[in-house]
Amino acid sequence: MISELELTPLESLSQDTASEQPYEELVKELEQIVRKLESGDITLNQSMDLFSRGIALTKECQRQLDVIEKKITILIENPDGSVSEKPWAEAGGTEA
Amino acid sequence: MTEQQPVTVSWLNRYVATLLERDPFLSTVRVRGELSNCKLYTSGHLYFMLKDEQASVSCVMFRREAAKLRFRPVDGTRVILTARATLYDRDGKFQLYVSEMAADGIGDLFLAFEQLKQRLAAEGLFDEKHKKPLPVLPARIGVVTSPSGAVIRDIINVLGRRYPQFSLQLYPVPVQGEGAGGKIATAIRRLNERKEVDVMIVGRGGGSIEDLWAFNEEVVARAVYESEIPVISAVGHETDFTICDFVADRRAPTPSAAAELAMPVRSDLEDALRMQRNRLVHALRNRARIAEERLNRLTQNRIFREPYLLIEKRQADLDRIRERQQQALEKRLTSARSNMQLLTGKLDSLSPLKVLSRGYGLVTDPLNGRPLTTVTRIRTGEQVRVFLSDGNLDCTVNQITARSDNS
Repeated sequence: MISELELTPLESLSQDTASEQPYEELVKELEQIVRKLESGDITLNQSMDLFSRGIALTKECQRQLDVIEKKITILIENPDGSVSEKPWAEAGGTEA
Repeated sequence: MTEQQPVTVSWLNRYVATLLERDPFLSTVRVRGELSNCKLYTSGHLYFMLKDEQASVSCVMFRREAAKLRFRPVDGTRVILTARATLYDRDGKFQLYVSEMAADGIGDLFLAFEQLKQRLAAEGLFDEKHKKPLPVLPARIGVVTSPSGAVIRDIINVLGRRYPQFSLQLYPVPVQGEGAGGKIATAIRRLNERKEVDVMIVGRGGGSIEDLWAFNEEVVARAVYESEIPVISAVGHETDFTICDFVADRRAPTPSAAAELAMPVRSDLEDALRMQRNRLVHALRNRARIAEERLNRLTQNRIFREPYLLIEKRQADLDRIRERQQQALEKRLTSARSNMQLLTGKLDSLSPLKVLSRGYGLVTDPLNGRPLTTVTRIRTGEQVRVFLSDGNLDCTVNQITARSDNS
């Protein structure tokens, strides 16, 4: 029954963006959990476990949506060949 | 009349060579024909024959001019040459020194495009299975294009409408002209080195085949192919296709379409999340309700409401068992009794006393006291004892008569 669903520990849904699961994978797992829960083919205990995992996933998805901050930058090639990043005004204006 | 003095070969060749050099038509002649026997030497000089149906002429294009060719000269290619006709002094060979070569019938650039496209396709650079999927929610989008112009402006506008908090990193490049291809390739590689974007858009606005040419260059194709960051190509208008478009992981017909491919609509994602959350809650609620109903159904059972019924039932069972046990016992007793009577009756009828009471006597052998069953065992004059039912007689045998079977 539940064994075919690989549950990664909730601790892995941390704030560490380096090990962040891609959004599409979170959504896929969430859909699996919802379908499992709706099928009713599980014990009450398992339902509650799945529910909290599902809620944790929705929270992580929301966090990923919220964490993106409005930012537009331009990369400038320096005379020595290196590249620096500078903020960039929109609508066709280039920084000097 | 004097004969012409014989001339030397050197003189003759020089004479003809000079004739050719002085002829204005032959110093810059344009010739149309088909390439054959093309040989490109390591020196960079190109040697070939130019032919038509009936004739051919030997040609050479030196390195300086050959390097400017935009397409590869291969046998069978139809061309128009600009050349200088010469005679090589040493061997009198007539040759064309070619300064320009243009594709005949179709443009140079188109020919070059076709050649490169075939070559890269054969190498597998356009293969579907090499293409990567685009991330659903990129934290940062890279753009390789001109910093001025409509392209970057359109991309920023569309991104802003779909996801107001989007993050973008622009790597500005020239999108046409000398060296543009190299700069575009460098930009793609640098974005890969920095690893700060999850997807990139590479493109420019519309234009002629010459204008778009940078995106047909091999360096750009290779940079796109090797990019680990997914590349969306948006070059020119809907109907323009460049090599960059074929190699990219996705092709967009316009910069706005590229922005749509790159970034999702935030409210769509949040609506979907909300729906999943609702489904979770409803599903759990349902599951709990089912469990509760089941519990109720069970506790409604008579056993829970009237538990003593269980005991009463057990007691009734016990009584029934006892009764049956009793009955079984009595039955056995009765049958044992009747059996006994039967046996007693039989025994009685078999009793010798009964026989004696009917008038029979038991005669015994005087020697051993055992019953006398045959006349051969006794002689006349011997004594025998006869038992009757109420006593016995001591008798003497007077006469013995054996009974034969015939009497």
